Amino acid sequence: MSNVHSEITKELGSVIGSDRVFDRSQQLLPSIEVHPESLYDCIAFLKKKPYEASYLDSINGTDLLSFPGPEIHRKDVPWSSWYGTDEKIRLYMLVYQLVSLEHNKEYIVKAVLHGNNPFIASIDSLFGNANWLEREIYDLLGIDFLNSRDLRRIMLPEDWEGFPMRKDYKENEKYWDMPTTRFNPLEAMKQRGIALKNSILKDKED
Amino acid sequence: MRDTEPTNLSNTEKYTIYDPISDEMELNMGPQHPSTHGIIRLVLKTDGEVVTRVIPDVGYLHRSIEKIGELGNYYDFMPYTDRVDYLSAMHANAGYAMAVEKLAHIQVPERAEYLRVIAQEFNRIISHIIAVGAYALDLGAFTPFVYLLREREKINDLIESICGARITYNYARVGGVSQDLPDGFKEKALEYLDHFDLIVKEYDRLISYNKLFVHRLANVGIVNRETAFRYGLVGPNLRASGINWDLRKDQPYSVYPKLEFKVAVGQGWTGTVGDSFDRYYCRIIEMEESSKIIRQALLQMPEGEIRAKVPRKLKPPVGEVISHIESSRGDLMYYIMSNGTENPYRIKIRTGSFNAMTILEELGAGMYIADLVSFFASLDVVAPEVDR
Repeated sequence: MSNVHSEITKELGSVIGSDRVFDRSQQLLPSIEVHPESLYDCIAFLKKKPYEASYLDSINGTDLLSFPGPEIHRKDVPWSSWYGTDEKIRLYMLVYQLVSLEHNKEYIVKAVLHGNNPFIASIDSLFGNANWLEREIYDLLGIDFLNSRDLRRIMLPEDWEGFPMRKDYKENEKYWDMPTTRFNPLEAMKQRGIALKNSILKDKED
Repeated sequence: MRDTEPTNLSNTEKYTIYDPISDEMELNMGPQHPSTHGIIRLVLKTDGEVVTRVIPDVGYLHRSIEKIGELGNYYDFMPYTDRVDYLSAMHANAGYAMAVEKLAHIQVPERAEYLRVIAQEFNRIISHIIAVGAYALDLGAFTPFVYLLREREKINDLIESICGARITYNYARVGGVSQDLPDGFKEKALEYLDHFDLIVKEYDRLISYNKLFVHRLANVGIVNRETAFRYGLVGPNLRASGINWDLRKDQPYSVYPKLEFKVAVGQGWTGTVGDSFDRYYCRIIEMEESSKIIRQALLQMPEGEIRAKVPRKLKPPVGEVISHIESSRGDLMYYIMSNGTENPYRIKIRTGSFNAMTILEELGAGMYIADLVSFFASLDVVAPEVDR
């Protein structure tokens, strides 16, 4: 499987420029990483021969806020100057999975976005199920997909505030006058100073 | 919260569901409905009996399972995988266990693999019983569903003797399974399978070739090859469109290379290839093939341990892993990302029903309401898989 991704890196480099593709085929999960601005061209390239990706399996989104060493992502790629010089910049990673039935292979493409308001082009026009997958990522992570035919929340209600899958998400106190937290008796006891004897949680507190 | 929202949103049109035009009705095939297979809301815009637009509204069962997975151990997440799809719980369990074993390089003993396969194939039978029986129920036939439920009860009893639960098993563990077979299980299971093979033929006689049933299923919701690929359909939905792709044969895992079975591919038995009857009949064939697999697995199973030694606190190396498993609704994909500590960093579950729901908007337009009910039931969508 790692041979396929190395091959793709070389051929894709000759099509969109070798400073926009990076070979990550030696990791536990072999993949290629592309510059977010050329993601649409990369996926259109994989749809044609000789790779013939048949369908889009899934799109995953991750918030790399508390990942050990996320700065590696922006230092070892050829486009590291695109991320700027700020040390504490926030990174998001998107993983696209395409499956080819003729060749019985799976192609994995990654793109790393940065900033407080990340955005990337939508691949709506290439695959039909990309719309719902992108809506889920917009709903839970807040990444904007440009030129999408219909981008709105899918799991949460339309007037929800915030993006839950982010690592620093704190929900509002109330939603339409309904409290979002429940009364927790252990917290109440702690606040009143009552000691917890013979408690299975005692080891975890220490 | 306001400062974390994106401010550079492009001008997508404000989406309004209520758009009054005369002669057009807007109906709610609401969250509570006897034939939407769970809690899914479909807003239909109809012109008389013909549907002009279908707008699905999901999210009533969103329990944020993926975020809960980041709070505990790798071992703690196993009961949550049962609830992702409660009708085929064993597939979800085994898929998660396979992903963690790939990440941490744990080798599973052979007897445990056979036990997982036996439980998974029983699970495939009972999941298809519900799919096929509920399809008949939607169209108004009560008897086939009740006859099949009797079989489901007997299989539930068999599985309860292995793992102690009837629906949400929590049977697979990281490194193997949790308990061994009780005495006398093999004889009971083989005797039951002899009886089950005759039941499938009785079901065929009852309903599969009934004239009314065939007329409501044939040539309804035809999904051809390009449409199936464009919307990412998996599982029996994909095979019914004439595409021979089964993960147990093409990307084999576990002990499936040693077992012989056929793959059910749609042939247009009554009508065109890729209509609802093909999707229905592929499931009936898969039930028969599953009973063959269980017989072979029971005879081939060796003695040995049922669980590998795993550390008390599992700290896999930093990295990501993807695992695919063929569940009764298609290809269940687990993506796990670890940051070297005890808790996983990100777990993502991609289910076959999520991709199947995306096809409703395109193919639902222009159908009669009754055909839409039949088409939706043939896709075999369960609501907790869509929302997680």
